[in-house]
Amino acid sequence: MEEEPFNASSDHGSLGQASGHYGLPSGRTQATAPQPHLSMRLSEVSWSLDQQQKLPGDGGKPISLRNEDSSKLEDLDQYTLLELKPPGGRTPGIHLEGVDSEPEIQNEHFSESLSSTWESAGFRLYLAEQQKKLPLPLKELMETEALEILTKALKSYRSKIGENHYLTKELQRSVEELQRRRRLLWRSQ
Amino acid sequence: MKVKEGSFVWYLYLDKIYCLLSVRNVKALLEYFRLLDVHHKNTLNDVLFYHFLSYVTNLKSRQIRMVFDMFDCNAVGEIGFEEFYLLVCILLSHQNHLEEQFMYCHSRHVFRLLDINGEQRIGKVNFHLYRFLFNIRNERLKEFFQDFHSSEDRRLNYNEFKIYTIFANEKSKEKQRERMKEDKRNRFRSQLK
Repeated sequence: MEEEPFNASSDHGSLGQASGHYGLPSGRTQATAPQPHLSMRLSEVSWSLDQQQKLPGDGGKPISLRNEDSSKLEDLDQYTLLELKPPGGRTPGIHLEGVDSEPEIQNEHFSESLSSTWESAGFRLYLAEQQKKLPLPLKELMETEALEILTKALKSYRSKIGENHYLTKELQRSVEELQRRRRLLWRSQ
Repeated sequence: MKVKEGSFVWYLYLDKIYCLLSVRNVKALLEYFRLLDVHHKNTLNDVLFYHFLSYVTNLKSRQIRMVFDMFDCNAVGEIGFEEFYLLVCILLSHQNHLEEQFMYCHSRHVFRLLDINGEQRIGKVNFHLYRFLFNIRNERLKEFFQDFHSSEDRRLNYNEFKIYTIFANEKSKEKQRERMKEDKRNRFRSQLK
């Protein structure tokens, strides 16, 4: 795998022309190449782009580190953008938030990440709390059903043991409590 | 026997391998049980149980009373949450056509329920009485008694019942496989047409 960078550097001249087209190989040189080589050429092209960005210490890096290289590339772009910005202040017509100075940027990022951490922690706590409770639609279904069953049971109690029996009164209290909860829920909806 | 569509029990999910509810489902079922337990004794008496089953299923009064007697093992006139949970699992396994799988997984509990006289033996009469709940087929029983049964009185002890559940479960899986093959063949024929 470490041989590929050497291949890239040796072909740098020919691929340098292609890099003007955002690193894509030109039709004349690449169209006739077989597929495995084509994919190799594309990886070589990405190497050539890295080379052009003049990242330090890139020579001889294995393929597994190429993802890190691409992320470094993005960071470098931000830095180069910052460097291009005039030091005096903001460019007219362009407003970049939190780009005044590096320490402030870092502080902003830090506070943003902190607040997002707190929010996610808060959200996780909320989720954990919700998971302990039953979802409202399920509770509504349970209470509606229980009310129907208990109303019928109350009729049976009244017919079999009478209205004044303590069991009938207990059941009546439960039915009234459920009815009150249903009314509250309907009003809130 | 059918579970009423749209009822709370109908929405519960029965695991198809273990024929049990998940912890979350059990928690919801417990809340439901507590709503019905109006006397706060962690039990349901016969009246509450009757109205619950008549709401949730299409069982007749006689069948509901039989189910209550079956679950009221101690003859106290009440059933607790454990029996309630077992009943709900039986209802759902019947609903999902998993009766044989349920009997195989929970053979000890089913044997205890079917052994209503406490004789540690169950016969064709027990099976026939509760066929609406466990869907035990006569032809399968006959086949089993012909091939496996050892004692002369044609009643099964627990070990023989366990072997019967394995036998019935295998037969039902075989039938399912044949049905699936038949469906595939029919689909293939309809595609060719």
